[in-house]
Amino acid sequence: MSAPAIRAERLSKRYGQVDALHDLDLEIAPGEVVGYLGPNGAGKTTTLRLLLGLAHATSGRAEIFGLDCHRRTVDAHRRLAYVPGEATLWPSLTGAETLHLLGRVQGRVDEAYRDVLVERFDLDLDKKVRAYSKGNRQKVLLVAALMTRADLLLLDEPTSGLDPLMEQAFRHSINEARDAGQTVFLSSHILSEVEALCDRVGILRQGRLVEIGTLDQLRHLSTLSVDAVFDAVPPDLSRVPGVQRASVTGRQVHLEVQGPIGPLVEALAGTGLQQLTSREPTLEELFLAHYGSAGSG
Amino acid sequence: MVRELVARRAVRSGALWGWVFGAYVASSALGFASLYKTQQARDELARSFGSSLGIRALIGPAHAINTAAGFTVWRSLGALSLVGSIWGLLTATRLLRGEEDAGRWELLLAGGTTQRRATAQALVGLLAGVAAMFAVTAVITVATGRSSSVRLPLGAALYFSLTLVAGAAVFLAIGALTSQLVSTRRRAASIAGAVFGASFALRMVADSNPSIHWLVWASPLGWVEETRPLTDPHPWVLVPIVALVLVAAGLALHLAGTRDVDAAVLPDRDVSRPRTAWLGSPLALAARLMRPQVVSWLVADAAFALLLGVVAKSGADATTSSSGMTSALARIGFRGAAIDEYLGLSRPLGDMLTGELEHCMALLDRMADDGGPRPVCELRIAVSVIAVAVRMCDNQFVVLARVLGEPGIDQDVDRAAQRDRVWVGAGTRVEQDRALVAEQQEDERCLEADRLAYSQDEGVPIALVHLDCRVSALLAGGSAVDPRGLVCTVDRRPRGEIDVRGIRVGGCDHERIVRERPAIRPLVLSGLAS
Repeated sequence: MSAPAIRAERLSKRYGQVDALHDLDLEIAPGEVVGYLGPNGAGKTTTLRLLLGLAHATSGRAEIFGLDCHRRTVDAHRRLAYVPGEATLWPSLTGAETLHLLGRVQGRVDEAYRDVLVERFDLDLDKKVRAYSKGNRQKVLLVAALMTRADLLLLDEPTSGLDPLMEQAFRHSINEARDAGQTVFLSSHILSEVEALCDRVGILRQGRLVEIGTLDQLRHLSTLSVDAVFDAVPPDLSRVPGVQRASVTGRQVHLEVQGPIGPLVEALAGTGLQQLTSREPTLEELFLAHYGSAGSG
Repeated sequence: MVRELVARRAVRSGALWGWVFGAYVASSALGFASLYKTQQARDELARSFGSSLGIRALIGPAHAINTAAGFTVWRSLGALSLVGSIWGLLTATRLLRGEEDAGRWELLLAGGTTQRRATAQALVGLLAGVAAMFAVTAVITVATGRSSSVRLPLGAALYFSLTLVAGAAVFLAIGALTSQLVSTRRRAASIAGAVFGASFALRMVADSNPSIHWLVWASPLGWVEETRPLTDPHPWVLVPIVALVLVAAGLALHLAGTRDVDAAVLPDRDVSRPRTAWLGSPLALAARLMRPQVVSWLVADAAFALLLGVVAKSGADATTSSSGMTSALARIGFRGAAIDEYLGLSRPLGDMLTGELEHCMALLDRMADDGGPRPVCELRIAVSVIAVAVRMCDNQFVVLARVLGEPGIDQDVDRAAQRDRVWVGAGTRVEQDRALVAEQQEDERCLEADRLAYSQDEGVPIALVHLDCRVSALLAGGSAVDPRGLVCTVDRRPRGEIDVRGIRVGGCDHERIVRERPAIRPLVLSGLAS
């Protein structure tokens, strides 16, 4: 059995009095695309830096494909590519020179695929980096990481600054990576992106991993939204088993149901029900459920 | 890859400064014979300056300055060690902590390397910059030494070149160390600058009083001084210099492996209470942002002034005790009390130590990084020890080298004063700093708005550098120079190499230069041709 692409055991990092990451236990299988959600300061970038060996863990350990991130940093780095959150490059180099440099840094480049990516991301490689917009600098970093065909892609908010067209190009590229068996660890703020791309999602809050699972698993743990319209005054459904919250507006009722929906369906029988709709929560609702409506943590 | 990336930038910058070092040495060595034609004039020079403790405190000891070799060392070693040291600390902090500060370092660390290994590679790249500085300096020094008026043995010229860049190596390593200690480039450069300032102060105090001369061994700049190239070589002094470089670099490597990226060994204050008093307007914001630098430079200025005050009396005594020096100083405008004269002489050094050189370095570094032309307004380089006049025209600039403390002896005084601090701005105007020039000499000057010309043979080398092609041309001892004529054109072959025969300087092609103007010597820095 092959080693997990990422394994973290009680991984912690303290900066002074601040717990940036606390007892992170995480295991990601090869070929998985995992989203890593959390508000600013939740510990996403700290996790990535610990995995890269750029920061020393206060306690715990982390491995990349079975290689200790701290003791075997070089071997671990040979199997990954990284896109940092800040698109800072060398202003005096051109896009082509930057890709050449970063390719040499990574030690491997699929040149044919690089050309495909350059065309897909509509990148003018003759321009100097100082003439690039933030979005174009981000595209250079994305192409630099993807062109390596690394076994593991560590992406720290990789689409900040990209326009919607380029966002589509990014999603296309990540799906290609998944098809090629690459593992992707995607730290992001963009919930729709994570929802569209990721097999599993981890939610980080104040340095602690509060949820991780497939979207279906997370939804199962969460509430189902049900809207019912009646031909007369709605009955009182707040006492039905599983109903967490009920709000009435005229002849309409909005319910949030935890667990099996059977008791609610039985309770609705013979009540003059005209219309019934239900839907699973979006990732945004799941996320906000953990952080509150302000999204602050 | 880190090594190549750092070396690419350090070598460009180092070679550029090596070229300036070489030009400075050449101007000193070649100028000696024309400035001091008789043995009597040379002995008078030695009598006037050789035993002056005040002058020694400012620019180092004067050994055998009645010879071309001694004169060259006296004028070059102390001044260029300072320049090299500042280059070293600024370059190291820029390419280590500066890269980390900018967020580019982690991109490199994500490759097949570690923080410690990447730092080691960066140090090798930085040393390549010193090596380039040494190589270019050595080539020009060796070439100068072959002149019949100078005659330096090859080994002595190489040793001299090595001592000239020793300060750069020492403070490169110290800059690498301070880059690990604090979390911003500015703070790293400030701490390294403080070490440099303390080192300079110790050297200055040690040289100002024979009874405490042993203090010179407490200062890396003092060690450089004690290498005594060309006159009384002490090569064993290179041992503590190399040891300090190794220790500082080793410590830097050790610390790099024990800290987080973007963090530092010394704690940083990331939280503070809001202070809005200085944030009322863009002007106030500028003042707020400039405050740390202003305070730093004020402190540095005050410290330098204090130091000067300490050594000024012996300097002033030495000035008045020499009738030759007194008359020389009077002819270039110093007619005040002895202490005023001494402080006046020391002013250019103070200027350099308190900021102008850093501006100059930053500018030349940017030019070295980009290799492209810059707006004229950015090319206002101000250096007092090496007064560099810059003229930008089609990717070229002209460097006019001159020297601090041009000894003003008899008829040479006028011309020495005339070429003090010449600023040339894009052929549109010439600014002259008149601080060191007597009023009666103004009418005699041959500096014009769009023309730089000397009425007599000054023996001042003028150099053109083609920034794109890395080709320079050295015009030594030209009798009259018109900047408009100084156009250096270079042909490139399809594969990128430079055709030396295609070089044109001042309207002359290569053959004509060789045939008619032997003073013009096109010099291709092939190691830099990209």
